[in-house]
Amino acid sequence: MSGTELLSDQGLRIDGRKPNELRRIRCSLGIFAQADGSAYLEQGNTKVLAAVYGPHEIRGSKSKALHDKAFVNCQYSTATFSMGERKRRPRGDRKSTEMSTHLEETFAAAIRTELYPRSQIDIFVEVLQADGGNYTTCVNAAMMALVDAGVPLKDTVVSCTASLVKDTPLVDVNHVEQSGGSPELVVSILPHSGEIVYMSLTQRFHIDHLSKVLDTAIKGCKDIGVILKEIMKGHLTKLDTSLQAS
Amino acid sequence: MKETPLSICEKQCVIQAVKEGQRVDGRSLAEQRKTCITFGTEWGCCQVLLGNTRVMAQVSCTIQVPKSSRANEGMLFINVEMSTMAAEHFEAGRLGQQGIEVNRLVERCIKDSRCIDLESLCILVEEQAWEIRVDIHVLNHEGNLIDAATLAALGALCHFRRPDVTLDGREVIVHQLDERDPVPLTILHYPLTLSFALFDQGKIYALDPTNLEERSADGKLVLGLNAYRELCTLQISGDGVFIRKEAVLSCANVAASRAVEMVEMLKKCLAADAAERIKGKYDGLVSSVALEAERITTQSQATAYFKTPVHNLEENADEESLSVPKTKLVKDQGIVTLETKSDVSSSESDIEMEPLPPASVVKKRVYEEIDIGNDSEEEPVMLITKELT
Amino acid sequence: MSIAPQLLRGPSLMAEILLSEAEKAFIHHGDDLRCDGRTRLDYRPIILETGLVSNASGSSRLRLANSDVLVGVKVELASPLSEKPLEGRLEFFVDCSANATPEFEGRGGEDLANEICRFLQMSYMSGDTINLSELSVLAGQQCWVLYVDILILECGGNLYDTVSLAVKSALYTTQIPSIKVATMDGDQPELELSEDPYDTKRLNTQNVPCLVTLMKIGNHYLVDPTPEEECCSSSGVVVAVSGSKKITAVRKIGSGSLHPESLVSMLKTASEVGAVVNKILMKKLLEEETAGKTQKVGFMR
Repeated sequence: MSGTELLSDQGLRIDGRKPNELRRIRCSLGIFAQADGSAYLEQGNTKVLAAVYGPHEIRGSKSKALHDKAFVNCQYSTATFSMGERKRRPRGDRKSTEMSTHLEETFAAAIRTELYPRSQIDIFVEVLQADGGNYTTCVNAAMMALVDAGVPLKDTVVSCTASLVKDTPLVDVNHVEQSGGSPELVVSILPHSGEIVYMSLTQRFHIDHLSKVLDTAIKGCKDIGVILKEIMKGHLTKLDTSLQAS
Repeated sequence: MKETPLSICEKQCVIQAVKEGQRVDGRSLAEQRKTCITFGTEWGCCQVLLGNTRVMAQVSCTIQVPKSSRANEGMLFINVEMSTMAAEHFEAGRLGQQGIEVNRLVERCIKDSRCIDLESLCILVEEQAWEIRVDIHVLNHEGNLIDAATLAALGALCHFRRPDVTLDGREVIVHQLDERDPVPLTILHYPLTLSFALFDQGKIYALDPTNLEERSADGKLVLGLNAYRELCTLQISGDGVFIRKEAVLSCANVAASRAVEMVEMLKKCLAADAAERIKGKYDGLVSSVALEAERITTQSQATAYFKTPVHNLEENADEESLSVPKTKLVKDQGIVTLETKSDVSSSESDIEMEPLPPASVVKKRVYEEIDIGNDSEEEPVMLITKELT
Repeated sequence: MSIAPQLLRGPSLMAEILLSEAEKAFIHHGDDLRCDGRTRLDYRPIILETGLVSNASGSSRLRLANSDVLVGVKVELASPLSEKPLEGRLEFFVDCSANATPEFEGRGGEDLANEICRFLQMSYMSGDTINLSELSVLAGQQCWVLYVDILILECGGNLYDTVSLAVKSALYTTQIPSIKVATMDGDQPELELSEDPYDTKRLNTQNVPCLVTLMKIGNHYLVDPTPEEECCSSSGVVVAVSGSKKITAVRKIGSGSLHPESLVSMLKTASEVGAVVNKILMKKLLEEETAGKTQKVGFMR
């Protein structure tokens, strides 16, 4: 797909957004009763459910236990009806396993694992509808679920995608822009310190553009961080008032 | 089997050395290990030796029905195999997490960056197209599998020749190799990966890490670049890595210049291989065996070459008494010890700077001196010596 | 009598429940009054919403107290089965998400998923339920295949009922694009898919079966058991009841035994309950449809 279709002459993208505009974010915390923490996050048309169990005793073989910190176990699963073309297996293929590993590494860096030696924290994400930015929405949803579960974190983790079309960096790409051949840079940062915890790039662009695309992605992350923080505050104040009332 | 555990002192030794700008094998932070690329007698067989890491890639092709979503393109399939031969903790047959990571990175660098022109592989739209399959086998794991695997895959793809086909109406005739010369693949650009191990919260990065450095590091930064300074892929991973944007950009610059050199080297090796084939006398992979200078034993040999920080060794050989203790590394048949000496004998002056000579030459074990007081000349010094026959 | 709580497992390998002897005694002897105040033939509150997943041709989410199921239906063109060339196909796939319980991680939930999937297939096999010949496009060559994908998000007892009601709602809202066959001279006729996204047809789901689970506790049987009640009973039946009050499939669950007379009376009760459930569900689906396009709530509450 040529660049002219992804970015019009007026500077508008396919879904009408400006290059530096994020998609609409809606989030709901605490939707499931039996999970310790759960969250539902929508970024545009991408919908993700995350559930957190833990910290609890290591399930399965005890050899996985780490003597000085908790072991983070993640599972990334996509529903079979989530994509345009039906997916035969929700998990177990290479891409899902790779995503699960990256989620584990990201959250092992952000959670204060040294407080729970020899235990396990489970994070399960389920993609209900995929419209680009699946991994980033999963990271954000899992982070909200961790906050709902009350797991101590060093800092929140926020993730965002950025792309480059006709020398203009775009933030928060959707499926059409992603499959159109333009490069996609996924970044997860800790918003307070601005440090990068995970980064990956698909497709290619010249190294001179790296700086501005990276800047766009980091700015997008910080913006998403602000929005999610507001949602978190709203949820916790609601919880507080209902506890005080009872 | 489980991987041999990494002891805390080994890990801290590596981290401390890197903080001082030194690496365990004597390289600088932006230096790569010796890279050797050899090609086999079959078209599409490439072996890469990156230090001690050995990876082999083989390319094959078959005719298949193209995917319905991309009916006018051929297909490229990349498969990585890691058997227990490479390292004791690899499972035969099943790719563990590390294997999947290597597989995905090679795929992203080579397949997703579209370095091969897939449209030229189409024979009949929607009916027949070439499927190119790259099988990468990891033969020995001594760190930095990703770079070696990508280089091997790229070398194999550049080296490969597929059979020529002609269309007779709607019939496809595949010519045998002796009928018509096989056709090389159309390579649009040469993408390679360069890996950095990240230490100290992302402030220090070391290019081309060995296995020991990889395991001691906080995380890893993998950059995929081609000769035109275009970034093909990028990945930061590791549990405990926090890196700043400026560090990423400087790594990218270092990697870009290295990538240009590596592509040049690959092209030279390909040209040399082509020249040898024309001459007729062709050894294939046998030529790579002669490149071995070290004996490989069943024991893992930890070789460490730290440079002494301040003093010149020739000076020390003359002056017998020195009250300034020096940190020196001593090699003794596989056992590395880090010792602080206040005196050093001239017979050791060679050992720090050169690789260890074969075992038969080392006759005397290096002795250590423990200086209790200040001046070694006055007080008796304890000597521990052992003669080896 | 010991008063220590015992760890029990329900008949369908669902989560372990801790129950004390006093609770078990109440469940056994409760006289038409259950722990949550219901009578024996009452259902727990149901929340239903359709059309949540835009990538699927039909979808629904059903929440029966604590059991949460999301169903998506996708339609594709494929060749029909060789023994049924004039009919379309209906394929079920059940996935137990690890969100429900960590034991479902990886392949842990496969046993339960396969059980539910097989019973659903059995209950839809009868010609009375759904008219598959409506799905045929070109006799013997092309037909519509409906892939019904069920995602179990939370297990709160009575999964069979929840799944069947969700599937029925999803099939009700499924829109199949209309297709025209333009015959060409010679071998291969071409199929033309309609360009208009609203030019679709819907299936007649009047007779699509609902599953009713009846658990036998003591001398009585209960409809819509909670996980605690499931653990206390030793046997039960799951009955697939179609809209015309006919029973299309029966399965006995649990390790206990059933007297033939009680089995017959359970089937009678089940078919009556099933008919009522079917009627109410169709009424609600019609109400939702006529209410028009409103903002989808989904999981946002």
